[in-house]
Amino acid sequence: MGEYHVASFIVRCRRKHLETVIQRIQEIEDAEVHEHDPAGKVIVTAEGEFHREISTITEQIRDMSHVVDVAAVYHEYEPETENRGKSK
Amino acid sequence: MTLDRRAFMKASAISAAASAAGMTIPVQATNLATDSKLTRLKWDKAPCRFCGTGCSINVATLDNKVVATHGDIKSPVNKGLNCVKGYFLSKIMYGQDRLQTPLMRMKNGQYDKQGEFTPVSWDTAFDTMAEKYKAALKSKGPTSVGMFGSGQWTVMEGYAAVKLMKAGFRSNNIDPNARHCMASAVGGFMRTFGIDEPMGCYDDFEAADAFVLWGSNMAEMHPILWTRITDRRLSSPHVKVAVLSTYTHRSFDLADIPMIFEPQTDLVILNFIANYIIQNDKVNWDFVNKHTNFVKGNTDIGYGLRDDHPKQKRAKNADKAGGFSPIKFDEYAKFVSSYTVEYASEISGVPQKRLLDMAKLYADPKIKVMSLWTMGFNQHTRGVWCNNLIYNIHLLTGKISEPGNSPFSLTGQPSAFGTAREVGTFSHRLPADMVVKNPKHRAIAEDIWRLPEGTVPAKPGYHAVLHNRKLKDGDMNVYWVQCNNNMQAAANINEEGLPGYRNPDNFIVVSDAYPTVTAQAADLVLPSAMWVEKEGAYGNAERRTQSWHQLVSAPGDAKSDLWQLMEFSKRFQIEDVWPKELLDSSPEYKGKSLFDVLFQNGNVNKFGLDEITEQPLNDESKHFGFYVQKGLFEEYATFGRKHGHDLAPYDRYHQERGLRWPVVDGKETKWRFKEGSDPYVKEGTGWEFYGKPDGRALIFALPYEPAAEEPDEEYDMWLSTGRVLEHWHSGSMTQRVPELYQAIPDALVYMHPDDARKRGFRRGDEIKVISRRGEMKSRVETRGRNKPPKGLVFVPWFDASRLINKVTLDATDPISKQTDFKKCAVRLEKA
Repeated sequence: MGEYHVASFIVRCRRKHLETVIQRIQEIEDAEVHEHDPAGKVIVTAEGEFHREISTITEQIRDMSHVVDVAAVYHEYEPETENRGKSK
Repeated sequence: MTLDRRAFMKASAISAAASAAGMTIPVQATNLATDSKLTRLKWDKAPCRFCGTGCSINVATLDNKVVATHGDIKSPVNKGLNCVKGYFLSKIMYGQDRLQTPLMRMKNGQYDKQGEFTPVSWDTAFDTMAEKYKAALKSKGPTSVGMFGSGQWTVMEGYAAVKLMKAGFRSNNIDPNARHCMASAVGGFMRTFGIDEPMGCYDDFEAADAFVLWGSNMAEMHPILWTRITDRRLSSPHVKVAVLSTYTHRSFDLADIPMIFEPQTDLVILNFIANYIIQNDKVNWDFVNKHTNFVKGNTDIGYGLRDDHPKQKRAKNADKAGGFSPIKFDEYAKFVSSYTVEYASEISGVPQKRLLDMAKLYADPKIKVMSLWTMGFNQHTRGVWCNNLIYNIHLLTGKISEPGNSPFSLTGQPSAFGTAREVGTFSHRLPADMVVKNPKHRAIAEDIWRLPEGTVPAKPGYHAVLHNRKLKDGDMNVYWVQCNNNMQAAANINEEGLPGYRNPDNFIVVSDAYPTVTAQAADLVLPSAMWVEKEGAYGNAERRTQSWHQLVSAPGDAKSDLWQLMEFSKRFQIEDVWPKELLDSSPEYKGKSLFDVLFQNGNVNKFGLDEITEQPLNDESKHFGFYVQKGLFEEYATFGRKHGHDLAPYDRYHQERGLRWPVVDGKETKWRFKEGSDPYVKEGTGWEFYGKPDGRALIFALPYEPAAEEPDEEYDMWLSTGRVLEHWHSGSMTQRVPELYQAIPDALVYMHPDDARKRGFRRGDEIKVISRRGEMKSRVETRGRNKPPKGLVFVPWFDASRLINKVTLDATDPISKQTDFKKCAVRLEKA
């Protein structure tokens, strides 16, 4: 049985590549960009049924060019019940 | 569960991240996150139980389970951030193979060394243990029992263990796994400054103009501190980052001056920088004349191998490794004068320009420099020297104890400082930097502990590497391991560790939360409570002491290490453990239990259960009938108060996100040894290194000496071992999180593509890594995040199914007794 996991991250990239990095993050399924500032910080959430999905997303972001740091902030999980699916 | 609830969880996640980043929280998230109807979680604080950074984490519990964590916005350390390891904290306690009952090797209903692990009661476990302890003490005396602890013990657990071993069983054979991690750093501090632990603090990150990483891969090992460096570098264009390592890793992504050097030649590079400072007239004479002395250390000191090893026999000063004698500045200048940039570049392989660029950062009086290191310096057969040599550079330039000017020794474990070092859980130490061989120090300990003169033995006990050798040789027969996985962590498992544990004369007890490699090699396994299943305190790398409450109950019959230590002491009458002469001199102790003498001594049991006000849970205190953690902490704190190691009253730590000692008149100390910020420095002195009798730090003349083993024709590659971000140390907790395990499933052999091609290996091929001591199989990785130069392979050691320590050499620094896990010679073959 899967669970529901949500986590948030602050992604730090070189500022002149901010737009490109945001665009690439948005292309990742189950990752969402919420806020960013011009200095190169981007607030991202990741959702999934397993921890693994979230680690995969963070690794994908960490491996992007121009990304120099991915700092985790929040993580919560709940066991799967009747309502499957993500929060939108 | 409804989608409302999920939307709320997500809103909480967004709002926590936005506030940690200092950004506006989206309105929708604000509305949801403050809707109290949707929150069912109870939030408390606790320091993270992984690395030595000491992040404060907000921990949410629901129905006696941890279900959420986030970085604590009120913490000056992590300012709301968390890292990948911390992010999995909520999962580490709930692995399917969590130990919940004692397990003993049994055959036909009896303990049998060759038997199978069988569940037993705590009474049976402790009865059998006590029988083994008593038999060993009776036949061979106190040196036949030993204990191996950890920088993951809470302060109170380490302190209780020291009392039990040094005062109870009267054996100094206790050492922590911090010996593998921090011992060389301690040796460096004690030799140069006469007092342990960094003078600076994390506030230096925002004040420095340059960062130099000596071997450390902070991007993976100290991600939160790396975030602070990244922020500083990216927001202030003048800031420079220099990274030195024997292979390329993720910290190089931010490096302005990247440097890959040949293993062991860090000693040359360090002396080159000192020489550069002198040759270019950049010595801060005012500082040097007032606050330093010059000395020359003994050389040719051996490699901490067994005495009959040829390399050990050849070493001239193996028995006087720590010795040194005074010299003048001119002699020192002459000593380092041969370490030119040409020589340093030739021997290290680093281009001259990069060496000079780095040397200029240190030499320019206007640039504030923070030097950072961890295992690259410490796990080194000349690790204490490396620590001394980096301090030389900061002392020659006076770049020390000021915001941004900071030689900073990082640490690997959550309480390597707070417990292992400050409590003194080493074979030669007592709390607050005191040592067993000093009669005055023993007298102070005996006085605080209310014990008769002569209780604490004077001779230092066996250190960590000797433990395995003495078990193998049958000199030490009863051994208790708590809170670590030393069978996987220690070098040379094949020749020393496993034969020692399985020696038929020995009884090995392992307390752990999971069935680690070490537990599986034991005779009795005790199930431990972990992290927020107990109350505790940790001390981080910037001298910050932090406490936490018990937030959930431990599963099944699992008990904290503290409960185990104290409860076990009830099995002994004082007559079982102390000699007649000691008891005759103090007859008032006769007829008492060891528990009465050590823990019901009027200090430890001083505070009642009514003082536990904020949390309903505290299993140990309820069991013993007094506030155990507070009593132990307050007795322990007596050692350091008014002696440069002052801790605040215990209760205050529950209110704070930690305080950096010395805490004097209620105020923490950020920079030690500097007038104005350290209350121990006398007015008008400017700086005072008060760990030394004359207040002066030592600048050491120490040369380059080769590694214990180097590649040759037969074993033609360097092997370096280390960690990866997703797994912490031996992986005994992180590998329980299946998703982490799948991120980096098995330890790989990272190597240069040309080295692979030359041997006919392709990426993913299974190969054997073979040394003179053993071999292990793993798969080739030529493209991963770690990129070694030609001639070197890197293998992480977290993987219990691929034990690289069957291959490593147990050569140690002869001064610190810390193993060099970074250098030995191997050859590679197709499996």
